[in-house]
Amino acid sequence: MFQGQRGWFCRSVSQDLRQFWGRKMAGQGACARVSPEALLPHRGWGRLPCSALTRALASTVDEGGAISDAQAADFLFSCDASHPDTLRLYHSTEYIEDNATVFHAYYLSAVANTERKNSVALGHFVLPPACLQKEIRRKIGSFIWEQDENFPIQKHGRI
Amino acid sequence: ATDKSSKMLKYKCSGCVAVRKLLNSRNFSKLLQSCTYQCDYHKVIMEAEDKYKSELRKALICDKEILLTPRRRRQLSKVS
Ligand SMILES: [Zn+2]
Repeated sequence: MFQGQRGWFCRSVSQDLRQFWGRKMAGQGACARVSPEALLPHRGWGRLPCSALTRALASTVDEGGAISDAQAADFLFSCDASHPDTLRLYHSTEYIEDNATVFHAYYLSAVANTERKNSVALGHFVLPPACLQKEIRRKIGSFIWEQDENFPIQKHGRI
Repeated sequence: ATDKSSKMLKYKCSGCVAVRKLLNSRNFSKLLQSCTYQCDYHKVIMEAEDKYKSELRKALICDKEILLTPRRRRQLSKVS
């Protein structure tokens, strides 16, 4: 599904979601090798029905995307807007010049958990800087990536 | 709270309906800005981010001016 596309991942994104996206770009060593960051505990992982998600992802092969550095990436994914990796993006000129929208990596779990993969709207998963989230929440209620119903799991898991 | 944001999405904008093949982290904010109608969800997020970006931009310009000042002074003294 993500063939030919490069994604950058904040260290706040779990290994499961990265694997679902795809592999490290060729030339950077074997894809099966565990990177040191995979051993770090994952932050921002609390709100999701984890067991169901892991189950759904475990049965999925990777979707053919490539993992790259932030500059070369077409897609920027994070699970935590206040993680230093992501903060660096928010302070980059690319971001200031409207060339770097960060998306919440729960987009990938939403895709993994539905059969109509292309029906998941990436545009709903915009992840704004942490310092803005409170103000935005006051106006819109909650972000779409904070709502459990966007991660339907009845089709595969749960039994 | 959940109710509120799903209500806000009753009317969709191009940020909502654009297919993933056509959008990515590089073109998303421009796509949103260029579209004449934004749904409330995207409008609120975009306005907050725009404000934040313009503050950063201002801060950046200030930094640059501080950095440039000594050199500018030197250049000026060369000219005179
Ligand atoms: Zn919208």
